[in-house]
Amino acid sequence: MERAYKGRYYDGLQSTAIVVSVFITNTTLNIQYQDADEQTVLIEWPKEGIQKVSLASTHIALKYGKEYPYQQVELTDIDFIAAYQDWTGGQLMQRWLQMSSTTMVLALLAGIVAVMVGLYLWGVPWIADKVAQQVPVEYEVDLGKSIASQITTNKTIDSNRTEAINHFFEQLKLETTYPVAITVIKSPVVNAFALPGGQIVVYDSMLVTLQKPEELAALLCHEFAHVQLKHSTRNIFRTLSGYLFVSALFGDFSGISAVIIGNANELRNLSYSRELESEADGFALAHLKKQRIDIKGMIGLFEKLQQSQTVTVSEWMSTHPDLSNRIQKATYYQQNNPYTVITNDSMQFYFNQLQQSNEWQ
Amino acid sequence: MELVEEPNNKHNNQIEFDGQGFDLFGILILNWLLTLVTLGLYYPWARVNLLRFYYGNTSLNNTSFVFEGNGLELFKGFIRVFALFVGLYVLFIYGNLTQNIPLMLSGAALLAICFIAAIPFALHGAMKYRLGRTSWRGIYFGYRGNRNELLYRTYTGLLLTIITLGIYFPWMVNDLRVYIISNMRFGNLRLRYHGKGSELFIIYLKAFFLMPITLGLYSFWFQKEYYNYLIEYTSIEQEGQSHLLGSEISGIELLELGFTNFFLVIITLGIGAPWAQIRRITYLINRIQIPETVNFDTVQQTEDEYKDATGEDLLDFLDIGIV
Repeated sequence: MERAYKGRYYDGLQSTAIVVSVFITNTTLNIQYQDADEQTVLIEWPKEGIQKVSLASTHIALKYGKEYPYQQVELTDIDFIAAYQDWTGGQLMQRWLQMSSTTMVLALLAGIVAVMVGLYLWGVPWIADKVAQQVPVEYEVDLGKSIASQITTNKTIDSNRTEAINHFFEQLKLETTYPVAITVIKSPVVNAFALPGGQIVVYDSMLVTLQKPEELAALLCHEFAHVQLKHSTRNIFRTLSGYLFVSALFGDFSGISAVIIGNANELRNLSYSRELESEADGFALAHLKKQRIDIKGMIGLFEKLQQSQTVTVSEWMSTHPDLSNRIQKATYYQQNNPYTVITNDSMQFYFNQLQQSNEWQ
Repeated sequence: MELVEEPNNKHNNQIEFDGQGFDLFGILILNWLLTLVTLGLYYPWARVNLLRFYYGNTSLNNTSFVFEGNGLELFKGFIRVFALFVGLYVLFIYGNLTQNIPLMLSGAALLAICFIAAIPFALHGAMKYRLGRTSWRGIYFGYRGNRNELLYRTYTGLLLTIITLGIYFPWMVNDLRVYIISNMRFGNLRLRYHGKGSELFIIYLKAFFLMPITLGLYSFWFQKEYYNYLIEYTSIEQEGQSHLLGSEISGIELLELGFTNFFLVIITLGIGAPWAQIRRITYLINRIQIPETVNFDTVQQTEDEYKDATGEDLLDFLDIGIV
């Protein structure tokens, strides 16, 4: 005789609970009880008509019936749950799910977190970078122009210097598909930055800080590298994709975690922008060498920036690598790439123009 | 026939919620992951997982409630609701793109009207589905309300609320409760709601004046009054006898719960949210009292089967919760 499991049976007509013995046979689930007249009642459920109503680690409910309403049996015997699953077979996955639900949830959670962190740190930036590389030049140019016009609305443009610096830039002989346009604006802050599509903005205080044309050459090569290597566009795509990813993940979570994650995003972007700065430095050094312009200009530029840092705080600091580190790298490059410096008189000429008449001194 | 006489089998008509935070956490994580991976298509199944969890962990006299709805049913409704609103949005966006002011305004108005008009349809369908798919000891719940009647009550209620600048709102809520709750069935047992609009109005009015004075702390006592009123004015009718339910929610306990939950969520950076949710539901459900005079052992099956989940999905889309 098969093993009997104790359960409760409901006939589907009334809520009365009947204590029953449940047996599993080859083709049927048998339910047996004594009725009020002490007569044994046997109900046979063919295997194929049985449906699972609910299943938890310590509880199972099954129903049977050709049509509504259904008969139902409920058991809290763990052995029965295992036996029933053996009987119905093919439920291996489900059994595994419930047997080790705690460990599984924890393992799954750890796995998800690892995958998400990996995606966030490498996967999403990689995709964003690939997408950014595909952005057409015309679109970048339009975007750069509209950002530049927004930035310069409340600022005074120094048109004389703007003209001079663009002539100076031509002397650098940088090859590009972008229409490079440099704008000098008046501001006490020592700063310069590149926008997508060839827009470069230089603050006049930056120009006055510089003492040699080579230093300006180094600065413009550096900013040009940002344009040519699509740094701004890539940066925009990275930041946006990072926020999109984070908000897709934590859409339903509380605002507090969103703030913390938002700050993490900022941190990640800072390290990314430092990476881009190093890349731009590398580009600038290589181009200075190509044009036989003195690398001392690069070192001089960094030294001037170092000095100006104690006076004014600008964006230049936070998003850029440590200046002494950059000086070290430039010096190292200079030592390993000796070449004869060629001075360019036109560069000197335009540089002198830029140095004249400064209102901030 | 031998009735159950196990020592641990309670007959005190205690309704209990016994869900564990960790289990809810597991369900939420899985739901979240699968919804993400399937680009949202898993959503109806995710909802079923949650509903099963909540119903399955609620028990009466030691027997759990069962929610028998499945993802496929909800998915079918989900598609219909989705199609309906996508159509509306397309119209609305098209109107905006033409930059034609009258067209834009009528598009916006149409969208707003559809949202409001959808409420009673959603309520009706959701009640029928949710209750029709819920059972206890094989006996099904059911909703016998008439849709047109509910539409009429909702629209006139909304109209009067607008005309009276919101004052009529408690009467409207009360009227809908009376209608909906009084049409709920559990086999041959029926529910009835005896609340009065004027009393609900007083509850809102007190909150209106006390909330600013207490800097919002009164909200816990408002919740207490609101929930207690809802439960205490509901009765179970069995064989001509009426049995009023009881509720023992206290303001100070709600306040304690609110603050501890708040810190639980903050300290864990949101991970504790499922545990906080469990604590709240456990508190609210375990405070409901059903008189021992109700006999749950002899409930007769009376309700028909109902499987259309469109209303349920619509209600979820409109983001309206039902207790």
